[in-house]
Amino acid sequence: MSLALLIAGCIDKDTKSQEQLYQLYGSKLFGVCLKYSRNYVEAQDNFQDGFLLILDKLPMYKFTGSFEGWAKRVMINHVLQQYRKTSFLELVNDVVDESDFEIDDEHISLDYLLKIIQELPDRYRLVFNLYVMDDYSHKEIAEMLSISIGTSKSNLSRAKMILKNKIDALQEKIIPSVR
Amino acid sequence: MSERKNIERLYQEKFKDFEATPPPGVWDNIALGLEKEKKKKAIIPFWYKIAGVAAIMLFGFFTADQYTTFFNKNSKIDHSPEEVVVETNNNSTTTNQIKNTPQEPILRKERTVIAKGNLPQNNQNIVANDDKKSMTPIPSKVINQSLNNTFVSNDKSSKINTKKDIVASSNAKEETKNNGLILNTKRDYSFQEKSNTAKSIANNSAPIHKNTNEDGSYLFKKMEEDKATSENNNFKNEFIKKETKTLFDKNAQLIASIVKNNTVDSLKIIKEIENPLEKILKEKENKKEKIVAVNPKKWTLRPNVAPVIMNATGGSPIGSQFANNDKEYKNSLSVGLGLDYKVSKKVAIRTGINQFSLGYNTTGIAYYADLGNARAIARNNNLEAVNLNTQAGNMIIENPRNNAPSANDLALSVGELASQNKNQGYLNQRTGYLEVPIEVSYKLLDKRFGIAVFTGFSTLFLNENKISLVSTGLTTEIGEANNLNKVHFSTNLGLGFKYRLWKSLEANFDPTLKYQVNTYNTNSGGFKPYFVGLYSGLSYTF
Repeated sequence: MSLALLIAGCIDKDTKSQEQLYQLYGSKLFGVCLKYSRNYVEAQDNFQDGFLLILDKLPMYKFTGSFEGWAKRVMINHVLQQYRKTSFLELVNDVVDESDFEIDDEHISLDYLLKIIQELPDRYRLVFNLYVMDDYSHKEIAEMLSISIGTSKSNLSRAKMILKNKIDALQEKIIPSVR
Repeated sequence: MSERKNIERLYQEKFKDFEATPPPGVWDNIALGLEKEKKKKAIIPFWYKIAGVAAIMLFGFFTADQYTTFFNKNSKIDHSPEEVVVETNNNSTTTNQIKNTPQEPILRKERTVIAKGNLPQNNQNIVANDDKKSMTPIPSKVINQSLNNTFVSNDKSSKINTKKDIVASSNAKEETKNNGLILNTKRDYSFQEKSNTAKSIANNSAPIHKNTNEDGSYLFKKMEEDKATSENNNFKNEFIKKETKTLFDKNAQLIASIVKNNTVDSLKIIKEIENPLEKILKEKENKKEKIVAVNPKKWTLRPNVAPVIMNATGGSPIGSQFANNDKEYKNSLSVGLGLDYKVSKKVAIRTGINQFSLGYNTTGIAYYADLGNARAIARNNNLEAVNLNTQAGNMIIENPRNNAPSANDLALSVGELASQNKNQGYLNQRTGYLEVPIEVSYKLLDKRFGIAVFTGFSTLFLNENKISLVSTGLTTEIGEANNLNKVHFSTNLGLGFKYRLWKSLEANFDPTLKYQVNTYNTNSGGFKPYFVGLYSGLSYTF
């Protein structure tokens, strides 16, 4: 079934179409939730609510751009809403060492990378995801999170710092010979 | 092998096309949530419908009562029974019928009210009594109050009943709301799942991907899954392409038929899109938009009723001698159906058809029988504009003050009149019309509550034309007016208030002033009638 027909079916509240949409896009959207949420359980809640929201807002999709992109944006906005209550600290002039460092990426599991992202404080995690993984600009992030561009940039730096430290710690365990 | 990377690149590469299968049971929760939404949406409109219909009925009863009592000048309540009895040849006007329906009395009352507060002084002693023969004076006010009272009380009782019904139904609505509806769907379905997944996390060391290999390295598994996903995607793409091709043909046919039937110039220009697949999808979406644009809800059907209050500038169209007699204008009821066509967002054309009749009394009339050449006299002197029927053939009807030997405005006492063998009464002229209005309306406010202003004209077709002589205990039809145009026009100006009950149904209240033009062809004696109608009803849009 073409996507347009599928979406039309979902708008008509046809259960089969809705389930098929879930099959097609559920995994991608759940992945988004995992990245943005604090843990697996919250990711699941956010995903369930977010998917219902996507179904609700389907009439607003105007077929400009990919459906996947649109659905992801709806999901992301939904998750951001959930964590909106967290206050975003203003950080001033935090200089972070951005130099490259060695990573043995064969030995770093995706699971671990995801885990340390989830462990980040909300404000860092959301900014990191939006900027690094979903390609939003600092300007857009500032608008979405109601923070200043400066805060967005410094949150990103702090996030990277924390992640880097954790990866370093992991590498020390895995590749002691490097040191 | 190690590479120099920064964090950003690391994450971008690792999480490119990142997917995770949701745990089983998630879809069931979502389906449950959808079910609940469906149920919630089905229940609420039902109760709004009940409440809406009941509100309109209540409104209709209430307003009909209001306008009639408002325009009757007497306000005291008298519990004396109905006193006026009309014994006439005309069977339809009996007291029983006044009590029948709340809306009817406005029509019936005209035939039975004998005297009003506005009479010239010499009529204060007019009899309104069962007994035709006795001339006991009864103050006119008492009679009217009793009339009003029975009328009002009838209405009030029916009002009360409908109120009870509405209260009952809205209570029922409240109960259902609390018992049946889920107000917060947020966590209902996920509560159970939470505990389950918490357990699974505790047990599972790799909670993200359940398919991790035993050695713990995820990479190989991911590559396999990537391959499978991309194969899946290819298959999906092929399938989509094939489907859209067949769709394209269908769409082309559909678009052709829509263009043919298109009444609204809304063909949008399709934007340029590089990807042909997206282009087809876009066309499909445009078709959907066109369907919506071509079949919007443009027509509205408006059944309505209206109390109609007529009035006129001076003179008399019955006979010039009555030009200075007092006129009492009756309220009547207009019933009709309106049809609107929406031309643009704010502008609509209103038309329809209404039936109403107007009546008014010319008071201070005297009449007597004259067997000699009465018809000629009547026609020539008294009632120029009336075609007398056989019943009136022997009657002479005149304004006694005009022909009294003591000239000018001296009051004639009942005794004096009696000595001349003349009786007192009043003339009732009744005209009924079929009205076809054509108006243009412009929306000033268009939310749930809306206001519009409209103007236009109506074509009025005469379908009732009666002149009656009403006196103590009798109503006699004496003929019809001969100076009424069969077709005439009115210019209309009105305000439309609407309240949207739900999607296609609104409640309307449109007070309108209609000034009649060219009502009489000759001999109108400067009598220019106009009326105000308070059109109320429902409108259904389709």
